[in-house]
Amino acid sequence: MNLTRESAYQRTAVDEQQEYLLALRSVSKAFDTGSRSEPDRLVLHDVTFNLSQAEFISIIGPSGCGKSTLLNLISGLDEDFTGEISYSEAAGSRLGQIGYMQQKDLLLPWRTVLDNAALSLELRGVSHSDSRAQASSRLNDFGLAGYASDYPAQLSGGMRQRVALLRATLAETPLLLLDEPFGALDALTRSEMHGWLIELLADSGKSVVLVTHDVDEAILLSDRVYVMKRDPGRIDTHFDIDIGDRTDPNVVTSESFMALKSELLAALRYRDAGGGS
Amino acid sequence: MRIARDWLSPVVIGGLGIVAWEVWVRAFDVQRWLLPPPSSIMSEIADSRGLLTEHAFVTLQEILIGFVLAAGFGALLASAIAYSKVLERSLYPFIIASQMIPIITIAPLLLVWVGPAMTSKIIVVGLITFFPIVVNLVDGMKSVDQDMVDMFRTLGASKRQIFLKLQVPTSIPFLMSGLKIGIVVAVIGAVIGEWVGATGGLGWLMRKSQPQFLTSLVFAAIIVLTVMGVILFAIVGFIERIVLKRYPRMN
Repeated sequence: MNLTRESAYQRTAVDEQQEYLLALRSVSKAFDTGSRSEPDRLVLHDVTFNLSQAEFISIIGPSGCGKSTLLNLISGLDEDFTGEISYSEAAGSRLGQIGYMQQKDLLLPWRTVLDNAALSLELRGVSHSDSRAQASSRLNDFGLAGYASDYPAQLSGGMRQRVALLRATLAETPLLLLDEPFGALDALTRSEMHGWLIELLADSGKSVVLVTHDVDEAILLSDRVYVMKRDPGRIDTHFDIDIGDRTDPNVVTSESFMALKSELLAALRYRDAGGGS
Repeated sequence: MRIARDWLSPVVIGGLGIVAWEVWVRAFDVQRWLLPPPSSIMSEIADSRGLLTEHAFVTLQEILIGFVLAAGFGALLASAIAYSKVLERSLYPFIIASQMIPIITIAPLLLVWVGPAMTSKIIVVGLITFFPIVVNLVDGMKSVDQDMVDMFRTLGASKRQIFLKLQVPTSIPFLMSGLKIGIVVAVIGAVIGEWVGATGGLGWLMRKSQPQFLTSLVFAAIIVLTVMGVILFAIVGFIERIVLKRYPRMN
């Protein structure tokens, strides 16, 4: 853990970063190939962006561009990088301060839905009964009412993802990271989840970083979309999203949505002059 | 019924084997003290049931007490090893070494140090039984999915919380495997311990009866021991089935 290095950077840059919830400056990560003939592979190169309170950003890009690695760095799971990541809500380690929902639901099979959700509070020292009570009060919001005593094996994929999301949000962290949370779901369930997520986040003041393959998802949910390229993993461009009322069921076929979608797809396809495959 | 279907072939084959044995011994007029026919073994069991029960109870106690102690000690040892790499490196060689010394040489030593009463047998059972339990349990604790560990870390879990709330439940199916093997070797350990020197138990009974050519009694004791072992194994297996419903193997 590079605690000293990170806080040193933070002290000098704090004035600049004060208004942002999360700020990344020239974040790079090299993967040591371990061989003398092959140079170290650059997994991430010079990633820089900001995130404010209540902002929703998506990161979209091809496989292998380092999107998940980036989330691991932001969450504090991985502290091996150069550059600077500042999170205004935590001076030291970010681990445990940022909600993180991974691709796999990672629910514990021996715990009930309620106990799985309550895990995040339990680990923070909240009493067993209090954490269960708090989790219980949110079950309805997540469409899990009546499933409190069920085990994950009895639930559908979509429901398990919702339990995982409840667990990630229960600790009420200002920032939430979502790594392709709906990737394993079928298209119908996925669009249901989109509508539900928009409703859930409305007025919550939470900021979200969403990593996804799904262009529609990115446009529908975000204020801003970052496009990443690979070899090396880097941010190529970004788009500000303005599509009007996101809860309107026709928004996905509106003109502004379609225009953004073609621009995004073009940006994803575009190969810059010196770029890789 | 599935149970009947599973057991049909072994029962039929076993039954045919017993009949063949009976016929062969009578046909070739084999000496009773050399190889008794099943019929005389059965009558011996009936005649000596008091004796057999009394000694079976002694052996059973040695098995159960040794097994429980081995399970408890094994769990503590496995937890220590899983918790600290330093402890793993320092303890594991000794654990392996403890199994390399043949029990057949340790048992007489224990007899001299601790005496011929049950205690020395319990120690023998414990020594043999703790090994499969520790090895399986450590494997179980190490088998924990790194993604799960990362998930716990993102929730701010401490190492102790990860150990108690993730590693321990994950290792339970492995513990069950260790216990199944453990109960079987516990039976073997009890008999070896008694064979070397004891004041009671089925192994002691066998050892005492053999020089007196009471071969039917020896066989009777073997049968009682076998039945006891099978029942104990079945009980552990049954407990495993129940436990595995709540704590499944994660793969």
